[in-house]
Amino acid sequence: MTTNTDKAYLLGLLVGGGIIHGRSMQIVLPYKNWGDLKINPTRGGGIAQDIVKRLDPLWNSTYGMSVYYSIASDWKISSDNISDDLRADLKELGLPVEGEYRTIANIDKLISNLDTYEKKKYFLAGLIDTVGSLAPSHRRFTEQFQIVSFEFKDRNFDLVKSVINLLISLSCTPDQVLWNHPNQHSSIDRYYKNWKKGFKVRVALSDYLLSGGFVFETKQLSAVENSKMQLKSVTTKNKQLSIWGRTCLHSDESSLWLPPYLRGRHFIHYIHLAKFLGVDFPLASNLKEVLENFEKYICPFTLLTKGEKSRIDEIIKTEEYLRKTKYKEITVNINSLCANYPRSQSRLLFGIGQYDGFLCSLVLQGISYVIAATSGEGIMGRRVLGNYIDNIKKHQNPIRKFSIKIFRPDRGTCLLITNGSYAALIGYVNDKFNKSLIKRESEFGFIIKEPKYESCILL
Amino acid sequence: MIDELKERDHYDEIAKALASLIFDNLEKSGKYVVKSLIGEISSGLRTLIANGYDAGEVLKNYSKSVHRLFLDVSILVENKNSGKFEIIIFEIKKGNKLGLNALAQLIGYCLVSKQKFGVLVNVDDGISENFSIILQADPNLTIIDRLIDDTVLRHEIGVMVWNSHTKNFEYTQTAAIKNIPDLVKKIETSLE
Repeated sequence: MTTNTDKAYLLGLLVGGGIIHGRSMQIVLPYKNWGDLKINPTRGGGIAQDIVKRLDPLWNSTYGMSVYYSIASDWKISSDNISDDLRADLKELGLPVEGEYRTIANIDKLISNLDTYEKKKYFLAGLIDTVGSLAPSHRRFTEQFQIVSFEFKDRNFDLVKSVINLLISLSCTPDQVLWNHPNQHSSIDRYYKNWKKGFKVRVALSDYLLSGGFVFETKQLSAVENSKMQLKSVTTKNKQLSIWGRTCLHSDESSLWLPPYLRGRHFIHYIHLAKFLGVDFPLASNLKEVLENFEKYICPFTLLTKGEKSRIDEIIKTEEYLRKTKYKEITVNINSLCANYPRSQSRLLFGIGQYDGFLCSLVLQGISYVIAATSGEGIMGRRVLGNYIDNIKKHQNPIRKFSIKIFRPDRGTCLLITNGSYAALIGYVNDKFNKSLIKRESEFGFIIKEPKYESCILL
Repeated sequence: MIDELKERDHYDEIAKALASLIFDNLEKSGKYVVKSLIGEISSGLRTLIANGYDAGEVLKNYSKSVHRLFLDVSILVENKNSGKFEIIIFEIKKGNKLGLNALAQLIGYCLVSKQKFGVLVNVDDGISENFSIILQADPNLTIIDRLIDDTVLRHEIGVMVWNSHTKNFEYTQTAAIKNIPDLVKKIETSLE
């Protein structure tokens, strides 16, 4: 089969939101608030026009199929009788003829058929018209850097990898990728279980507007609206790899939910994971140097886990090295820790030397959490709202006021901060010890061994 | 939002998009050259050749013989192996819904220039209801067989919309040329 631009677009729609059952096809458009008729009726009308005026003729003239729309929790494009032509194309491209596309589709063969710029552009347009989010809240730090985000659920790493490769081939290097992996969604909390929040491939809007396109006029108008917030065109080109902080060894890194080739592997950055999957990511000139010093970017323990004391007790009970650890209360001068902030944030505290211990910034975040959770002020779930230092400083002698006690472990495992109601665990950092746990199996493949209490550093 | 652009303000973007779309949809694009032209076709072709375009003999002769026709946008596709070429004529309209007048004008251009393919394009607007009924009632209205020296020259017409916001062609499902890939297929068959 030779694909063309129209087929490329329609297949992009299918890969983005398609579900095929027997002869019927649905394409789910997860537009949420953006496409909510009550919130934005004008746009809602525009989406209906896009489907009736643009998509229906396109499906008809390409595959001899009529489509219609329905609105429930999401917008849906449906067809009750998919044509033999479409089925034949899907089979020839190795695409499934039954099931939910973005979960099961392997698009390698389809991608190799997208052999021209326009075909690639139209396939991406199909994806962006379904799973591309243009909420103005997608931005890099400020609204001066607007982002368009391709969002996927579930665990189809191959699909996301193919989309990234395609974007790069169109000079739309992603500004950031959020992989559906514990190292990405829970980089500092080893015990956070709800990390399966999906994939986000975030591209600078200016880059996408230069090389990509839309068929939905409503999407195009939103993109133009968002781009007007920027005073000038901004690009991801020439962005340097920058790694902030360490990632902890997450308890789900070997989860059977992950594809077999990712299980047990640790990733310190989204480009690291992309490179492991074989993506030729152009913004990674200094990754090699970073990986040579892998121990400086990891922690085999949780870096910061917060919660009610009962939750932390449960974690200590089930984690062998924490259960065996003996904790001794220490006195902390909170004022001096806060006074030197932010200069002191990367300082290591309560270790045996200058180069080991517990990260000052995380100790302060743990204390701040216990204060906020106990007072019920400035907290949402386990997240302290606003600046955590300000949250500590606004109280006179907060350690005494909130009965906070800090317990140092007898071996380098985790520091425990608690007042009996709420608690936080802070992981021990020691690059030499970290290095002893690392096994490098390939250029980008790293495995971190689980620490044993007996081999942890005596403090 | 007030649209202050005139019809001819869209010629450049339409010509650019067409050249790219047609070239990228050609199955064996390596043997073809695709060029866009705006305005009078005879001098347009001669200027192209004078500026160094290595046209085949058939095209060179055609550029000398074709009548002066003021076309909005036309796309030249030349098969460099065989020397065969097609010029696809795009008649652009803006402001009013497409109707019989515009179709008649385009058919006239195709007949006079002896070119097989023509596409009627409305910018940001569709076709009138009456025109749509006429086209759908008689599908052969956009297929014209003309006998020239005992040879049948078939003209086929398309009716499309240029969306100036998304920079895409949209389809009306009313004419012989259904969509851009269909047009490209017809060009390739003709130039085999």
